[in-house]
Amino acid sequence: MAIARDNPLKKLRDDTITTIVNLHLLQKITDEEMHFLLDLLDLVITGEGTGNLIPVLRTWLLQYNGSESDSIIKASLLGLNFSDQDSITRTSTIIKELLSDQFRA
Amino acid sequence: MAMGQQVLMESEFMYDLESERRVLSSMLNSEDSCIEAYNTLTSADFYSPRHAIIYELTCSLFEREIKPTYLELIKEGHAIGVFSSTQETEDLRYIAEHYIEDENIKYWIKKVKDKSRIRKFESFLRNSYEMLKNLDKNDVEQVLMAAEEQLTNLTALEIDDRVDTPPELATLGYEEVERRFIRYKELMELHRGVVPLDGLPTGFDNLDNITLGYKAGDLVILGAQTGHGKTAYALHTARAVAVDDRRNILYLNTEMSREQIALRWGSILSGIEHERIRSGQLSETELSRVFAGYSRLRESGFYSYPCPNLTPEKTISIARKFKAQKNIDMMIIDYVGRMEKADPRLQEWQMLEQIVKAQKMLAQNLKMVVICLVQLNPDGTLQGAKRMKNECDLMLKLRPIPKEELEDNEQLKNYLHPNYYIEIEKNRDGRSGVKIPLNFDLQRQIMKDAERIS
Repeated sequence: MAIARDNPLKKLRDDTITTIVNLHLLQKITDEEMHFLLDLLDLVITGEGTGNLIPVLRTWLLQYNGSESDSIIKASLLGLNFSDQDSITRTSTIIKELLSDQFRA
Repeated sequence: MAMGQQVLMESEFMYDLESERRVLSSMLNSEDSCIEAYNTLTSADFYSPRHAIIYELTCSLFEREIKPTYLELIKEGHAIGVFSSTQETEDLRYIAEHYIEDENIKYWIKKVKDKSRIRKFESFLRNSYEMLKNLDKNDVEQVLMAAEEQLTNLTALEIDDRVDTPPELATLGYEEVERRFIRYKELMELHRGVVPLDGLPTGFDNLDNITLGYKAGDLVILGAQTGHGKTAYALHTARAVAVDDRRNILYLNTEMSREQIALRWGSILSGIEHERIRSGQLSETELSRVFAGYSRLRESGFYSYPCPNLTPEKTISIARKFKAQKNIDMMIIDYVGRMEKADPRLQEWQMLEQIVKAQKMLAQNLKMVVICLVQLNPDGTLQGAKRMKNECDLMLKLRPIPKEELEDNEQLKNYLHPNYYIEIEKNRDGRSGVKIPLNFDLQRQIMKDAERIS
């Protein structure tokens, strides 16, 4: 029998999926948040056009302080349509602008 | 029996959870395994209700052409509220992680199936015991007969097998005759003599009139010599069924590339010479005609699978997949002589016989038409023809009409430009030994019934 640990990427993906779903089942994250994270994971693993989204998310996490801008960014991300490449690009640009405004403020 | 013994017996003989997990894990990791399990098992074969649900979810994803993965299963299960505890997701992850190799899937499916049959047997014993307890001495014969029937069903018959009782067969006969009677009346009153088809159109009016169309479960064999229209016939049929009648069909080609098949369609649907389409030597108007042809192809039910290393096993697997996902009504194999041998020691005719037998079973099991194209020898004969003829429902030969026959045969002079015959060598449901004159335009790859001169 083959075991997924022989394939580190598959193991990592399955572990992450389980963690995300369990966080939802334990009511630590909402339904919308779970779906966002699962879709994001899928996109990262398949390597299909994340565009500028991942670096933008990294920057956001470093700057996150629970401000109003952070709420807007989160709302934009939760409404993101991952099957639409234009939507990903647009959202990434909006978040980038919000982050630079926040940084200037 | 002591309670401990009973528990042991149940755990050892009644179910095998590890086999169930292995089958499910394999379905999540391999499409071939998914096809095999989808066609062999039902959710009732799983002892664990959780496993039965996972199986159903996996099949549902597969039918919708979504690759069943751990992630998709989680999403699907979550959407319908199936996975509600962390333990359940952990169990599912265990299944997804511990997968088996493709080639072992049949072994594990058999284990799941065997346990399912044992449980049915156990249920039969329980029911029989209950009947025994409440037995009236006058019922003995009846109870034993009922028990025997149930046991026979368990041991001898698989899901698809059935034995018709006399009343069932009589009902079937009544319905069939009634259906034909009504059709005949319609033919006389509504269609004014044009025969309504019983199956899929063949693309030739004269062949439709004799066969009433290709019927679900039919195996059709068409033989032609090299360069004498096997692929043209296949695509002509595909046009009638998938483009004009908008039914879904699967076309397997062992010789041609994707580009070659696409270019052939350009010629067939535009009526422009194939050679000119290949070279791009077209006027603006002709280009528009070709594009209009491709628009029709876009809306059709034609699924093409070019596969130079096609094997009989692969045809079965891919047919099952397309039946589940696209509900195909027909599969065309162009052509069987190019299939790879499963066993190199087999003679050519033995291999052809095996392929044809497998395709007949496939047509019946999936309730669709299978058309196999075969190559005729230079003298017009077919190797292993007798055995193939036994298996098929309709055997056709496509051959050019010899020049002398065109000159001497008075009957042919009643037709406009006949140059090919379709010969009906065997027809299980009607007349055979008939030659239908055709006009085959080699340049345009278009075939049609030769027109009668009025």
